[in-house]
Amino acid sequence: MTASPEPTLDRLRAGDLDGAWSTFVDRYRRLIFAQIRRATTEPDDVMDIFAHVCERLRENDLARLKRFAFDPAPRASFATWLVAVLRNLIVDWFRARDGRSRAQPPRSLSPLGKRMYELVFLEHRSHREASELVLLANGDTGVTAGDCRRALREAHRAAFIGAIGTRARPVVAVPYAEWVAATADASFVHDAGEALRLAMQALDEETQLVIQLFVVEEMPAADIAHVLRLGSAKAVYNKVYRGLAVVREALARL
Amino acid sequence: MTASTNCPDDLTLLAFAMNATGDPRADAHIAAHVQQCASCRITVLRHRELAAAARRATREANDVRGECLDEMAIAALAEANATDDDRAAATAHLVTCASCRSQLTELRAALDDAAMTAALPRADATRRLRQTFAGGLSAAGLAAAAVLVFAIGQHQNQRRTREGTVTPMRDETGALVVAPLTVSPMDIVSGTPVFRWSRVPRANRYRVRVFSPDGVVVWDTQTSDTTAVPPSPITLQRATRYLWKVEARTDFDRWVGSALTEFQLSTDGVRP
Repeated sequence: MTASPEPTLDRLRAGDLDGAWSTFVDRYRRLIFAQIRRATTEPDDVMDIFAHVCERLRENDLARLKRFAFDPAPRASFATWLVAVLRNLIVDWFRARDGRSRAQPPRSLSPLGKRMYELVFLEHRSHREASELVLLANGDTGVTAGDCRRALREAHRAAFIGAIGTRARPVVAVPYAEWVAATADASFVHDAGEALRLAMQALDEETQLVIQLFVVEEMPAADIAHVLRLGSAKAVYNKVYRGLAVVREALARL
Repeated sequence: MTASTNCPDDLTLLAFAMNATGDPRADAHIAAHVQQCASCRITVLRHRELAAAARRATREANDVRGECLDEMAIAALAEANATDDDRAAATAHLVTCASCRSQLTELRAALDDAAMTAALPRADATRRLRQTFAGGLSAAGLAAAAVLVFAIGQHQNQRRTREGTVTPMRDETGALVVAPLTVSPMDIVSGTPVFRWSRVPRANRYRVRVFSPDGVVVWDTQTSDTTAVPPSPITLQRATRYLWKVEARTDFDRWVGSALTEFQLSTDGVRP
């Protein structure tokens, strides 16, 4: 077994469970709280989640931590693995409290946050599209693009999706009549959506995944390049463009 | 579909509609055009309806292939440590599994989060900082690094004091005199270096000195602020290691100094 610089793991391997737990909490308490605060900043929830996380990590004599400690060839660093574990434990806590699916936006959200939640998570709009719709609907009420970004952040926190589009993007004000004209043609949308799905399936898996991560999940291109070892963000853009070209051809045939 | 030869082509509009240009300047340019052109607006709106349909289809798809990825596999992907075979298998699954894609996206976002990086234990934080420098710094990365460097500096300072390896200085009143901590620049810097350090209680003057690799002072300045920017005539060579330190004057002719900090301008750095 490769020696690890992580003292928690060393103590686990030595069979010192109490010492391992004490070291773990001492070293990673801040990281655990930081990860929890990505999901909620409600003080009571933060403490409840921290207790839940500790309870789950401690159960069965630190079984989860042992799984990493005794992995003969761990493929990731302990901290990164731990963040992945924490994310799932936190999601478990929210599901236990709020139920698995959220057909409605959480009540704790502001009105604008709720609308953003509906648009992004229930209607599957993109961030920019959701912002444009909110600006369109609010007309001269003083809602700004900055308000939209804050509401988006709030909605994402509520849904616990860390990757949030905080980058300022230009939004286009669209006359309402045009919006109706463009979106009311449901049959076009349905047919084109089906064509799009088939066109996507015709792409190689890596290109499909790149488009899904970039367009659907809105993961930054640099991160996609890193994860899929594509060299650079430019390679991601190229793949997206090639994929979109196929989509374009599929649309042209409609 | 487009109205005139001045309109962006359909692919460009499609990329714009799907947030896929990846170029904020191009986005602004297209947005300005779309604002004026009803035909392009309709095209963009239709594409977005399609994108929403695609997202619905993608997220609601239930024909998931293979078993979901465990936390180690997700972490390995996020760190780009997965083997080629593992990555190919993971790709086949991720294409069909919104849940695992979402986990991967969230993990990458968490790893890029400055608050998370700052909360890492020191060894991990240092390693991640080194990796970040090796891979090039984003603006968020720079902010994280600054926070991290400050946090590490504070931690080291506290530890040194606790362990007694550095004798804490006290002034005549017996109050502890804390040395300033260098915050930036450190390691590799792109652009004009801005010298920043932590404030020292009761210090009314700071002295910053930058040394060349052979120990010659190339810049020496004093300020009452905790930031200093070298004037444009000072020319620092790219890809050359420099050292700098800051001293705080806490009383008449009493100075307390930071440790020497090394930095260099990246080869793509900009100097006036």
